Parts: sequence; structure tokens; C-alpha cells
Amino acid sequence: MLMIDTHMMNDTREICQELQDTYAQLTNLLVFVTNHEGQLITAPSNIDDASVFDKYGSELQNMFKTEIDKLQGIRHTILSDQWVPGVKWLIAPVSVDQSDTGMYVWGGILIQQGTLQSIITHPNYLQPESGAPADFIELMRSWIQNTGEISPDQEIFKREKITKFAKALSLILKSSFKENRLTQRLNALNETLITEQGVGNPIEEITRAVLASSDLADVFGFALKTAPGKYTIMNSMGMNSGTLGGSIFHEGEGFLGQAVLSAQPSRWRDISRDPRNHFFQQKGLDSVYEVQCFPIRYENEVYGLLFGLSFKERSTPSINPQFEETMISLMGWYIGNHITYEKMEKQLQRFKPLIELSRMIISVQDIQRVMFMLVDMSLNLVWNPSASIVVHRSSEDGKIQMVARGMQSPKGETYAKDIARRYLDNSDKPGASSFINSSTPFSLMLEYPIVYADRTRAVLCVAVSNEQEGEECREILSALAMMGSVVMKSVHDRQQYLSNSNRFAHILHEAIREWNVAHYQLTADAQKIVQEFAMWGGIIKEEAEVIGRACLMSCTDPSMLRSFPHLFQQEAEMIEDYKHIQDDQSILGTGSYSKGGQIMALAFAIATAGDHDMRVVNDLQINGVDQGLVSQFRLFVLSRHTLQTEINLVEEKAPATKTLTAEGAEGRGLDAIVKQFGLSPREKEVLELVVKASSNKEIAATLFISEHTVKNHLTNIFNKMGVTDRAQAIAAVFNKSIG
Amino acid sequence: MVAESDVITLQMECTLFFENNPYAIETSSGLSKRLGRSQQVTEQALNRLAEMSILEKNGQGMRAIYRYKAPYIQTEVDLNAYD
Repeated sequence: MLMIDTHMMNDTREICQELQDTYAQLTNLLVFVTNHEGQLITAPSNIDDASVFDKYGSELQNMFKTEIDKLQGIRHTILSDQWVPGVKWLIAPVSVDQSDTGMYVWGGILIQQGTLQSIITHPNYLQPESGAPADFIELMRSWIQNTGEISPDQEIFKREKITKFAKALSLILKSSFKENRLTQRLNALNETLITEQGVGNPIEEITRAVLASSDLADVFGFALKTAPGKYTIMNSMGMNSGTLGGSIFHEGEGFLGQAVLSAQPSRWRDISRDPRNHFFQQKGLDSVYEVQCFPIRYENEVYGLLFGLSFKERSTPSINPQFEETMISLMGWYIGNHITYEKMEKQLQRFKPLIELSRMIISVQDIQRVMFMLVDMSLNLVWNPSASIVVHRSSEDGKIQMVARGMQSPKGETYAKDIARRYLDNSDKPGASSFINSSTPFSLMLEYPIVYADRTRAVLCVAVSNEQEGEECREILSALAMMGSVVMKSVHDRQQYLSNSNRFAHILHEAIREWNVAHYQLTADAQKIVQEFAMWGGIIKEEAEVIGRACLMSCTDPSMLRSFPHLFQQEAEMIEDYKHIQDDQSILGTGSYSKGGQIMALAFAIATAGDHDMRVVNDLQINGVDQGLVSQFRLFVLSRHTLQTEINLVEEKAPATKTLTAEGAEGRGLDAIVKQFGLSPREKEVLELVVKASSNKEIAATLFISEHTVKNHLTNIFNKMGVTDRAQAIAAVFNKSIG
Repeated sequence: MVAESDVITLQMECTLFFENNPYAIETSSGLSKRLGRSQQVTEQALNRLAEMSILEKNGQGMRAIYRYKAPYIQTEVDLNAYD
């Protein structure tokens, strides 16, 4: 029952009172207005002494209430003489909603022509046992006696006027009621929006609050897109709506699924026999009459749906339905806007760190390090990190490299092979776009081909929790994969550059053989010494590569070398310095020449001495070469001499090793040693590098560990193998390989 | 209140630090001094990396130490040996 009287504002009450008094005067009737509880809403009209109504308020209210209870359901003005037989009252209902009567207009007294005498002479005429207070009975008596009899025409006139007054009252109250409810609604909305600002994750709370205070429907729901074409009801409120939460529907499926395809709000009425109603019936909502849907959109993208369910027809909604529909449509737009903002915010939060990362990653010159970074950084960038893998094919020998986190063998390897088969085998058609793969042993995987040098050479694959997250992460991961492409291309170009440099250097070197075999051999020896110096730890590997090439091309005119675009610039400078050192006898130990030139001078000095290098080195002193470098080289030659001696001893003990390659040793001897002595995978890697004559420093650099850790590994390896030094360990591996 | 982008940036910096120093063992306090960041945010970033299994965390609170967990590496997966 609507308590419309509570919405009667003061100014409205005054207008109603004025109208009531006017109609009372026009009809010459006593007129009251009560609510459905029998309480007087306005002051009685046409009554001289109304104090009795104040004095006996509750008793009179009971009288009216008793009468109202008998009149439940009346829609038109009626005549009643329940209180005193023959003394009639017009009773007109006042309704705001057709289904609910909120107030009643009472108009009296009407006494038909020729009946007054029989009324007042009736034995039960206004007896005290009627329940009414004595003062009121006395008042009634005076009203009846002062009321004249009326003709049927007069009765019809009075009935029409009282009916019109009730209708006018109804219109005024409807307007007032709507205005009042609208004010309340706006206040509630305002309060909700102010209160919810700043609360964590407010969007669902605001939606809940806004929908809960709407009377457009009995049940409201809030569904979000959780995957392309798939929606999940996140929130529901209203009678028996709890079962809706968590329900899933798809685009085009049922009322809700059809609504998300529409750009406009949708409405279906009288759906009880519609098969699409089955979705709600399954959730225990058996008697849905009407469905109203408001898509949550922003620009061209649908993010979800707000919907309302009504269980009965609302013939005259109490609040302007257009306002409510507009309000909820705006709410949908607001949510869509909010979701877009959140999505962009998430991406922006990651783009800034990604740009920072690009500054650091660009200097990496090792493919495996790039793979490490791609795997770890991808996990930093996705919303819900769980697994990532990078598969890389570096050569044409059917072997691939993989670096993975969150996935282990053998599933990881199986997936890596699948990736290689789909992306890396098809070398003619580099695929550049990402792909969401749902048929993996893991969760959904976002796969990004990494293309450089006209081929797909690697693939970055990152697990995402659902397709929606995949869509949202796609761009940021694409940027990371693109960055990986650039860095891998840089490493690839550098390798190509080195490969080309080495190839040209060897061609020039071979050319020397034609006219000077002795110098050909000398330059080859000098290059070998430089490489050994690097392995010993005197210089880094990359530096040794350049100096080694300079040694090979030392007979070539530096100006001719400079004519190669982007090649041999450093080598030409070194050769020039080396030649100046050779020619210049005036400068001693100043080190003003390039380090490469100085090392060349030292390497050629040792190479020229041949087997007598130990004797040479003791007197080693070259003009223009830094004394510190000379001392370092002296130590190197000393250790080189010792190492060669050790190797010779081993060779004497096991001559067959001369024919073995390091790869052969790794293939058979190493595996056998690992198996026999129970070496860990890390120890195996260390031993493998020891067999390849890597120094501790080089092993540390290759495996990304400290030299101290290398020494620890070596100690453990020696203990397990029962050997005392690396030479014995190498010998054991070689022995195993021929055993 | 630290911006989310700053926390993610720090996560990445911490990741790079441990990738470059894979055998380093650090506390949030030690690493915050190295990186010149507040200890609170560094701890937040380190804990996220531990949740991602990029780092291994031992201990709790200020005494927790973090070290890099090497990813799973296979350098020679034979493509010809299809499953």
C-alpha cells in the first residue's frame, strides 16, 4: 500500500484543503479526507466546531478504518449508510497507482426525499451502543437534523462533484508523489555517489546502490564480459535474486544474450510463456513478467549488461520510467567508461616500466639473456602471472632453445616443440600477429612470434587466466615481443657482423699464404696466442676477436681495410699502432698506443720466438708497450707453458685422445662421468666447459655465476670424481670416451 | 601511496638486478639501498616477484632474504624427436 499522504508536501496540502473546501461549499456536504488507515489528512470542511475530531481522534479513526476495511477494492464512488441507516455518505477512492488506493474522500450527509422522519424516529437511531463517542453522536444528530432532504437529481450532482474532487485530488497527489519520490531518488543517488567516492573498487558498490534504490524492476543484475562473447552475472539484488550471481550467458543466448548485441536498451513484456524465460526459471525465478536490459558500452565496445526483472505488470510506475531508464543507461555508460579507464590505466601503468626496460635491455648482447628477460618481464607485465616461455631457433640443425618459468619438463618441452613446429619450421611465412591458444597443456597461452631478418626466429608465449585478460594484455605483451625482436635482431646483426668480419679476415689471411707462407703461419700463431690470452683471462673474448683478426690481417694496408664499409675500423687502427710500435724506438713503456696494438706487438713477439717463448718472455720489453701489460703477458706465457706441459703428459699417457674432439668427449665421456659419479646438472655444465678448456672466469661468464661459485663447483666435481685438478678431470672424461 | 607504475618499474629493476647477479642473496633493506628506493616499496616489489616464482623468499618480514630462481632452460631440444 502506498503511503501517498506522507508525500503530500505543505503547499500541496494547502491546495488540497482549498479544493476540498470549495467542493464542500459547492455540494453543501461535510467533506473529510482520510488515508487508508482512517486518519484525517486535511481539516474537515463545512463543520463549524471541528474540535470533536481532535478530542476523539482515535475513536473516529477506528470508525473510518472499520468502514474502509469493508470497502477494500472499490474503484468508484459509492454510497454507504453503514453508520446510520438511511443517512448516506459518498465515499470516493483516491489512488495514485491504479492497483493501490491510498486515500478516501468522504462526503455527507445525503438524505433522500421523504426519509428523514423515518430515520430519526427509528428505534435504533444513533444509539450510544453504536460505538461512537457521545459527543460525536450528538454532533451527528445535529448534522442530520440540519440537513435537508435531497432529490435524486441533487444526489447525482453531489456524487459527480465528490467524484471529480477525488480525481482532482488524485492528480495533484500523483504529481506531488512523483516529485517527492524523484527528490528522494536524486538525494539517494547523490548520497551514494558522494559516499562511494574513494572507496576501493567502487564500481560494483555504486551500481548496487543505484539499482537498489530504483523501483523500475523487482530484481536487478549486473553482468560483465569475462571472455569474448561470454558474460558472467557479477551481482544481483532483489527478491530471490541470489541464485543469479555467477550465472553465465553468451552473446545471442536468451534475453540477456540478445540484449548485449543491441546498442540500445531492450525490453520484453509478458514473457512467462517465452522459452527464453527458461534461463530465469532455472535460477528459481518462475514468474518473471518483464525483462529490461541496458547494455554497458563505451564507444563501440560492449563490456556488460545491467538488467531488471519485474514479476508483475507495472501499469503506472510511481517514478517517471523515462528518468529511470535514462539513469540506468547512464549508469551503463559510466561503468563502460570506468572499465575502459581501468583497462587503459593498467596498460599505462605497464608501458612506463616497459619504456624504462627498453633502455636496459637494448645493451644485452646475448640471446639467452634476452630470453631470460622476455620470460621474467612478461610475468611482470600480465595481470595474473603464472607461466611464460620463450622458444628460439638459433640454427638450422633441428635444435631449439627454450627458457621457461611456471612450466616444467616434459610438458614444457612438448609445448616448445609444438611452438617450433607451428612457428619456426615454416621459415617462408613469418607470422607477425599474436594468437590466443587454448589447446595447450597449461592455461590459455598468448603466443607472439618474434620476427627478425625476414624469419620467425623465436616465440614468446605467456599464460593468461582468461580470454578477457588475454585481450587486455595483448598490446603490452606485443610491445614486449617487439622489443625482444629489436634486441634479438641487434644480437643477430652483431653475430652476422662478426661472422662476416671473420670470413673476410680469413680470406685476406689465406691470400698471404700465396706469397709468404712464413708470415701466414706467424700471423696465425699470433692470433692463437691472443685467443689463449683471452681464455687465460687477460682480455675479454670480444676484444680478443678483434685483435685476433688484426693479427691475421697485419700485412694488409690499414687504409685498404678502412675502405670496407662498417668493417675492420678497429682492426685498421690496431694494425697502425702495431706498426708504429714496431717502427718507433723512441717511446718506451708509455702505453700511448691502443691496447690492441700493444697486445699485437706482444703476441707477435711470442709467436716469433716459437718454442723459446719462455726465454723471450723473461727479457720481454717492447718500446711503446705498457709495462703492466708486459707483466701480465709474462704471467700468461708462464701459465701457458705449464698447461701445455700438462696436456703433453696426458697425451703421452693416453695417445688415443689426440683423435678425439671436444664434442665427442661430451657425447660419450661426459655423460658416462655424470652417470658414474652422480654429478648434478650444474656440475655437468661446469665440467663440460672445463673440457672445452674454459678458464674459471669464462665459465663464470658463460653460466652467469661468480668465479667463487665456479671454484666451489670444481671442488665438488673433483671430490666426486676423486681427482685433484682440472687436468685429471679432463683426462678422466677423455678416458671414459674411449673406454 | 605509491603509484602502481612505480611498483612495476621497481619489480623490473629488481628482476634485472637478480638476472645480472643470479647468485646474489639480498634483503629488502639491502636491495633498497642498492637501488636507492624506499624499503617499503622494495619489499612490496620483491614479494610480488616471489609470488611469481621469479625470486625465492626465505624468512619473513625484515629478515626475509631473496634470491633468484633460475628459469627452466633447455638449450638443445631436438625438433626431429617429435612426440
